[in-house]
Amino acid sequence: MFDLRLLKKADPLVVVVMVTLIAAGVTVIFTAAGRGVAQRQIIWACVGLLIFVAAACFPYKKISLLAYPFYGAALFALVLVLVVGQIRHGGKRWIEIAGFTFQPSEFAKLATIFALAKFLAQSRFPRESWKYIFVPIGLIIPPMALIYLQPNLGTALAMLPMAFGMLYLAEASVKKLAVLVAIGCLALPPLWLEMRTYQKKRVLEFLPPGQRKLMLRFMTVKEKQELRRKLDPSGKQDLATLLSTMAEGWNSEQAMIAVGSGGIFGNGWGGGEQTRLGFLPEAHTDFVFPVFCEQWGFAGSIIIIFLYWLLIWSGFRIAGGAADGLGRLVASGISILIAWHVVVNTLMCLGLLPITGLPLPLMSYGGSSIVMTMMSLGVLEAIHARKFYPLSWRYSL
Amino acid sequence: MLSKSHKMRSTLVLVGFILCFSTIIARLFSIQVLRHDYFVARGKKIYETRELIYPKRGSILDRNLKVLALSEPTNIICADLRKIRDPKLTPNRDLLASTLARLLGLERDRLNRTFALKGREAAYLKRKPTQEMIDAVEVLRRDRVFFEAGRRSTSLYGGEKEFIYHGIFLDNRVKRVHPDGRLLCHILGFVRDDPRPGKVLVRDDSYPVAGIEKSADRWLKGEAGWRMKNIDNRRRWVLSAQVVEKPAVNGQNVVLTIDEGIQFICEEEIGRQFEEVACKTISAVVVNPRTGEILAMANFPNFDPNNIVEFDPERMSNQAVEYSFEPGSTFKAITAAVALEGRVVTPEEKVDCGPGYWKAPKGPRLRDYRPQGELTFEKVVVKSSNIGMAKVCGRLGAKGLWGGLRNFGIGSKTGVLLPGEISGTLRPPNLWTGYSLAEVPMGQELAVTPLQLAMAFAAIANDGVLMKPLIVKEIRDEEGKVVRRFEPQAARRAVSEKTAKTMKSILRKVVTEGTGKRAEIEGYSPGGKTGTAQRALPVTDETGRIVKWVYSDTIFNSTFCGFAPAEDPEIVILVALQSTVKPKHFGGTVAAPVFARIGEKALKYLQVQPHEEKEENTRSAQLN
Repeated sequence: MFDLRLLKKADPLVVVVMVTLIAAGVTVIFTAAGRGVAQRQIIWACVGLLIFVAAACFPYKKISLLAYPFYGAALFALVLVLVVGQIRHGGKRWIEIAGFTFQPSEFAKLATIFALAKFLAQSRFPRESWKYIFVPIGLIIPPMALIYLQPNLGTALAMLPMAFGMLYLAEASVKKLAVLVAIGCLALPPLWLEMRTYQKKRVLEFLPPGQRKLMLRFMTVKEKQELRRKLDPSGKQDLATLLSTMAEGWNSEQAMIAVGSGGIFGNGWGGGEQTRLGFLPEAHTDFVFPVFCEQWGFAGSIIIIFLYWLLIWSGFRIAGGAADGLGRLVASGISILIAWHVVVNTLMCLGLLPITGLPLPLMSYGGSSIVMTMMSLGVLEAIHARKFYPLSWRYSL
Repeated sequence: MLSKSHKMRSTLVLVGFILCFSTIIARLFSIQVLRHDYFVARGKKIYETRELIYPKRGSILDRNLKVLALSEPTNIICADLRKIRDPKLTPNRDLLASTLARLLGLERDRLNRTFALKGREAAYLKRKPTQEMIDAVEVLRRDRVFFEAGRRSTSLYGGEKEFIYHGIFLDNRVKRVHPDGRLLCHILGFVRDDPRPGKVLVRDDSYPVAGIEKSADRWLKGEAGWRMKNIDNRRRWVLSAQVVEKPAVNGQNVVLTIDEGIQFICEEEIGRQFEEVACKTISAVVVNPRTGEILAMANFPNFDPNNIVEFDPERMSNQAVEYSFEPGSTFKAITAAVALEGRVVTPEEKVDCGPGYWKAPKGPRLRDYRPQGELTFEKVVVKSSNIGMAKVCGRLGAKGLWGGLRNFGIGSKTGVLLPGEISGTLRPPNLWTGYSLAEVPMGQELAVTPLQLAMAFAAIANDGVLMKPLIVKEIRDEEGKVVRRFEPQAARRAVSEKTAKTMKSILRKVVTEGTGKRAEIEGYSPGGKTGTAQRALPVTDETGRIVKWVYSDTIFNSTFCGFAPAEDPEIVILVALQSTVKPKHFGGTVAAPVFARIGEKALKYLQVQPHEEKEENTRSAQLN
């Protein structure tokens, strides 16, 4: 089933960038959360490396056979997590198996890419038809809904750009996609109604102080009371004034202070008071980027951004050179997903987006995230290697 | 396979992400390079706190540098037994006991027994701990965090990671200690923790309430310093980042003019008299007439400044400056001096005191305690004739008498460095009635504080120069170097030297042949004046409203003020008893003996040579 010959033609750039980013991540995790956590991250990275090699050796065409079973398994795991999942950080996101915990949502992202790619590449529906668009939409709705129920809005929403990007690259009708986007915008108000109070608070914190009051019209009395309790336990002040004086979210503020404290060359490894004194929350998971920025400054952070850019650009390059439609779509989907994570996570750290729980791929601590990202990159390598092999090979596999 | 349109779309998506990444880089540049300083400052606002370093409050010393009040840190390691018995807060009591036994050098079993004490909520574990012990307690409480590169180590002493003992704490308050207890309590005053909002309550000596503590607070309090501390997100401070930015300046020591020995004599004597004579309060003031230095100032009843909560606040006012009374006949010494200075009378002039009663023109009927007939002015003072004084001082006129009394400092504050001083009452002459001119000369219709009266007598004793009373002699810094000295200062000349000399001899005769015979001190020939003034008591109607004030026939103020030795006075002593009851009410019988006892002991204490001894020495020399 695995063909080690594929490894010879692997893209070294992806490997180098991946290993560099993981190493950078481990150094940051070491300073932010201590030796133990860093060791666990290294172990996860080693596991991920095995899976990366396995995925790179795996003839990706067999994905077309495995895509739907994968997708089914992912849905099952997502249902399972809602039933038996562990509650952490206010959400049921983890399943424990034999002492290890993992997030099915990470797995579901990749499974959904496979399923989408299989359908889009092999569908007999004409590309201009509505059916060609609706079936993928139908495919992403169940995992999105299940992830949203955890609740994990950030990850659920990450599915949308991924699906739309793949549809767009699979040459679906632009007009029809535009219509869908317009309908999606109409769906925003109901989405606001569905959001939890803490999620609304985050959105409010993100808005400029003058415009926060507007959003109050779209909140129920009960939610207003809850928000008021959160903002001012003594309950003396008017909610409107509370909102206008409400600081940017604590997390967002701390992240920006950490980034800003870095300056041009940073405080050096292990330096930086925001992280050292524990003011930056989630410093080793979602806010790993501000820690790096604080330690290595502008010089270090643009290097990291450049490395991510190399990774994403490689993904698109591999997609462009893929041997067939399936490979092209899988590679595109993976690239879009990683790029989305990087962009949303960094913009969130820089105070340009509300706080969502999206990790920074490869650098954030988290076994599921790093293993699944490395597996995706392995698949990319497999797609890359595949095109260098003679025609006879392609059919033999 | 790769269609043209796919290539174009792929490029478009890439361009979209390029835009996103450009935004990221632009934002990074803005935050990290352009607004770096702003964010550093914002971060510091969060993790830097300013910790105050408290200064040590200065001590109060007497003129011989004996310590009267000092601040002492208590520093006791205590155990909150409720928290220790709570298994949630203290998971392993036995381990805590053994750890503490090791750190504090105590016995483990005894600690365990202390923890199990029934009916107790707190216990002292270690008094006067070393700095290592204090550090150890802070580590046990996790008030401090220790950082090493890349690793947060939570304990210096190993053990479990979440091993936090809030049940152990350091009582590091500072107590104000008065080694002499009640001695000088009214003068020293007391301090307390700062009741103002936002102030730290652990300092028991940060807020002066009364006495010298309050009036000399500007020297005693010192100046707080501060250090910047980094705190972590749980508000624990980070040891490594502790830098003293500005050290505290300790308070300076205040040296009083009070002599502890004379003060002790005074308090003992008035305390004894308080037991024997029914009265409300007794005040005594001892002044050095030449310098105006207050050598002793005592009131009875008193209180214990070490334990103020147990005493009635009424006892805490310093009656010697915060209370005024009608001095009565004692005041005749002052008015007589004014009359002599005004040249309206000579000491030898005969004054007709008549049959013991006299109706002043447009004034009251005055009475003497017995018919005196014709007396010289000297005898008027010696015999304390009201009629004689009124007749003579009437010649001065209201303005003349008032001006003369103002020269003695009557009716204005003396400016002594004690809080709450009042000016007494001396109404301006335009408010005087026909009664006033007859009553003021005999010490009625006006009110003086004991200190004012003593200072006025001191002016006579000091050849007519009124001194400003001094209570603080000098300010010394911590090493004992004198920083500021308060030099004796004359307020003004009250009367001429000649008048003062005449008055001194008249007042000496008061003691030898007049009303003040019991004030005689063997060998020191004191002079002085007695006073027995009726007290004005309020008359109330049924609702409790005061209708009028009436002079009582049974309640008196008894005073004696004098100096010794009369020719060249070393000390001026005032003894004033408020609200004495008939028949033990004559100043000559209840106040003069106290004067004599204080005077004798104080003069001996000051090692002033008695005259008789000199005379005896000369006599024995002649015999030989």
